[in-house]
Amino acid sequence: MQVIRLYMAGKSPVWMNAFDRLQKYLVAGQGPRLSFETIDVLDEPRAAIRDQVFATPTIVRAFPPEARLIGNIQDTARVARALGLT
Amino acid sequence: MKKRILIVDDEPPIRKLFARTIGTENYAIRAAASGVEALALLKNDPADLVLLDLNMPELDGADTLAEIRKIDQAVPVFIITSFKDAFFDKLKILRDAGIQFEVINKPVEKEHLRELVESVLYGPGDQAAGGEQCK
Repeated sequence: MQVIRLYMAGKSPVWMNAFDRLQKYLVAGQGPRLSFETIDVLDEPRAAIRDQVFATPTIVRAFPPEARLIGNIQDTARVARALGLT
Repeated sequence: MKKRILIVDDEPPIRKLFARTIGTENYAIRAAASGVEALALLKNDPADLVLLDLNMPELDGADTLAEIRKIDQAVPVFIITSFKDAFFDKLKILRDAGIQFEVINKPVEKEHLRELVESVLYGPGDQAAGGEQCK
């Protein structure tokens, strides 16, 4: 199972919706091999440090080779490309 | 028209470093030495992005953010802090009150800071691996 993580501060509806769109986009294209997690850095700062997240929002593809997208994550196709998943 | 960025930090070298890193040629950058000064600036001239140090005397970053949201609900505000910061408790109170903000863990790589600002204001570009750090 390959993990995609969204790091946020709180639960921004904008970022949650963007992540939901990404999840549907990727699952439709790749089947059930991906799992998706949302992490609030205010509650789990160690997880953010572990994944070398320096700002929110960040989406991390946690399996090698690691990839990430920081800042504006609303363009689903752009995020998928940046994560090497298309 | 250049996008407007407000940098709020009580330490002058940090304000200068962030401004230099982001680049004054591409953005209209203003700096405030305190939360009170930042609020006065924002009341007269809104910003497109605010970079706000959490740990400041008198009005700290969390209190300043709460006041900013009374003026401007939409402007992206990035709280500059450490992911080990004891002030997280105060940010959790704001979060639980539904106040929107983002966080930056310091020290931050200069290239990462530039990419973050560009991504927030203009949309995502290619992400870089790393480089020099801002404190």
